Parts: sequence; structure tokens; C-alpha cells
Amino acid sequence: MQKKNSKGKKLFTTLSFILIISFALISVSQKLRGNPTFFQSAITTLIFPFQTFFNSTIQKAENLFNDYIFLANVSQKNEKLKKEIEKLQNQRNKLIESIFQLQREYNILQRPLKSNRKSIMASVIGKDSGQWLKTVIIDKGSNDGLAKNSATVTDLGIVGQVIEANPKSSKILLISDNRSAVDAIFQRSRDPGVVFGAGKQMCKMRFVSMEADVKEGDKIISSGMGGVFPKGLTIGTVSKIIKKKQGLFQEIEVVPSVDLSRLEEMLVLLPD
Amino acid sequence: MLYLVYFFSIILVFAFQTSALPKILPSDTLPDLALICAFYFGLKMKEQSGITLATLIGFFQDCLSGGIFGINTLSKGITGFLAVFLKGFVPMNNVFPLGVCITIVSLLDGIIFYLITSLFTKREIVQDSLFHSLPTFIFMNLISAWILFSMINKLSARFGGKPKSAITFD
Repeated sequence: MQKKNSKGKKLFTTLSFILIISFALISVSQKLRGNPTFFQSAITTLIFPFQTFFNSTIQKAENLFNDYIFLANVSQKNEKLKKEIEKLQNQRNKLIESIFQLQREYNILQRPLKSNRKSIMASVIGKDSGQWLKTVIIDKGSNDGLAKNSATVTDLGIVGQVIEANPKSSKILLISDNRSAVDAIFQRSRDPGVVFGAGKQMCKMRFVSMEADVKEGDKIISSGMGGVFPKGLTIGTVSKIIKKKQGLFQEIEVVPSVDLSRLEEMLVLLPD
Repeated sequence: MLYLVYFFSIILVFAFQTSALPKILPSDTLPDLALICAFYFGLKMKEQSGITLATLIGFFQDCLSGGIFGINTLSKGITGFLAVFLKGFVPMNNVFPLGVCITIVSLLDGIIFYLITSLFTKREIVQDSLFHSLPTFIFMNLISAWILFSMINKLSARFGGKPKSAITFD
């Protein structure tokens, strides 16, 4: 009985210890928001080669699977030509993939940015290790000139901003994350507001006055205030307008212009 | 030797979780393999070691995650504690009690995230997206646990540990 009691006490001491450590970590991290800690950099660097390995393996498997699908019918019709077609198909797929990648990169580089900020192309190598956050990991880091709060965009619009720049990789907070907020205006009426992340692949625009002229389908662009995103970058389009009877502001649901679930490459605007 | 195997398993699990899993499962809701590992080690190891390892897994996840630092240390530490606590009361010898326990820890993970984020960021979290994805999250975790448990059991058996029948999940 006594042994059981002491075991229980030990367990609850451990639980209290975990609670204290965790809340201490949370409080300290809230105060020291910004640069990654030693542990964060070390573990990110440690895991980087494994992530790259998994990424390339999956890519190869995907190519192989695509090849199989392409050739399934051909092999039934003509066994003789199968190998030749397979070879050509392989080369073709590689070329198509290269063309698509170049096209995407070209589109991103061609986007008319009003500022003359330097930029760098980056590829997505991973997603957040937790389920509840909307962040992605890219293959460029502080060694390439990235810093915290660098804006990231594609040819379609804003993706998010750098929240942690490690030497070889960086974490990007997507605009759909609950912690994201971008100062914005409606392109047509120029009424201001702030676009917040709403989880999933959605955003919400708040602080839009009741008198503001808003219609479904209106384009929302960055206002340039806040210093992270240059003015005029597309954020998304209005999908729903909610006007409550009582209240100072209307709430707008926004569909981001960039498909944040299928990000592959993005342009990072480097700090001046 | 066994601890080294555990360490590399955890590294591989995290690399898989962050890079391969989003491509294999192109869904908005993904399983939390770290949560499954934390629960497994809580069940498999001795009380203190199980909870410590689960907490360390959470710390690792915090280092890789872009969220509030410490949130995963807390949730995975509590997961490890619950695993240790529950194994004394619930017979973990078939799929049903294990499934219930994983459902509980998955729910708890979501609730801890919601509470801590609301408390420390002082920002309104959109509850709909969070709580609508919980059932899928739990389902994904159950499937992943079934696969991961048997994989780690096999690895442990291969490198010197004896898998306990209590956590084979079959």
C-alpha cells in the first residue's frame, strides 16, 4: 500500500515537473520571440538531410507510379514497344517536370513587384511537425540572406512570412495560420482592413467598417503598412460577407489567391 | 543500443512526418506521429523513463514546429504521463482500450493547443477549423498507431528489447 502511494507521489511529482518546465519554456519563448534557439537550430539541421532524403525518395516513387499509370494500357496493346515507350516516357516526364518547374519559377520571377527588393527562389521541403499549425519549411536559410519577417510570395500572391531562419532552412508562417495578420485594402474600393488566418485554407478580413463598399469576388491586396509585405500584392478574393446587426465592423471570408496546400516553390523577398 | 535505436526512430519519424507524410496523405489533417510515439514510450518503458522520453519527443517537436515553444513539450509530457497512469488501470491487450486511450490523448492534444494558444497569443482562435478536423485527426492517429506500434515493436525486438504483449495493438 505504502509502495503504491510513493509510486503515485513520484508520478505526480513528475507531472508537476513537466508542467513547470513546459510553462517556463512557453513563457521564456514568448519573451524571447525571434531568433531560433540553439536546440531549434541543432535539431532542424540534424533532421534536414533526412527530410531531403524522404523528399527525393517520394518524388522518385511518384514519378515511377506516374510512369506505370501512363504505360498500363500501352503494355497490353503492344508488348514490343513497351520498353521503348517506357524510356521515352521517363525522359518526357523528367522534361515536363523540368518545364513545369521552370515555368513556375519564371512566373514567380516575372511578377511585377513595385519594390526593388532582392529576392531568392526557395523550394518547400516540409510541413510543420504539428497538426494544428500552418507553417512550411523551405530549403533556404540565413546563409542565403533570409531573415525573420522576410515576405514570401508566388506569381499568384502572398504566401506568408519567415518566422524562423536557420542556417540552411527556414520556417514560413502561412497567411492561413491563426497567428498571421496582414494589413490589407480592397483593390476596387480601397477600404482598409486586416486579413487574419482562419486555419484550413481560409482567411478572414476584420476591422472592415460597416460602410465599406465590399462585394463578393472583390480582390484584396496588401496595403504596404507593417513593413513586411510590399504594397499591391494579391492576398485573395472575398468569398462571403457577414454583416451583423449590431457591431461596428463587417466580417469578410477570404479565399487566398495562392493554393497553400500545394506549395512547391516560392520567392522570398530579402530584407534591404 | 536500444536507446540509440529509439533516438534514430524518433529522428526518422519526425523527418517522415514533416516531409513524406504530407505528400503521401494530401489531406489538410495529418496524424501526429510524435503523439503516437510519446504514448507508445509511456506504455512501453518504466514510469519515469516513459514520461521523460515522451516529454523529450514533445521538446523535439517544438524545435521543429513554428508554434509556441513548449506547447508540444507539455502535451506530449501529459500524453506520456497518461499512458503510464492508464496502463495501471486499463488492460492494454487489445485494440479497443488502446483505441479509446489514443482517442483521449488526441483530444487532449487539440484542447491543450487551443487553450495555450488562446492564452498566450491573446488572439481568437478559429474554433471551427480546429474542432472540425478533430475526428479526422483521431481516426488518422488510430491508423498510424496500429502501424507504428508494430514497427517499433519489431525494431525493439530486433535490437535487444522484448516487446510486451500489452501494446501490440492487435
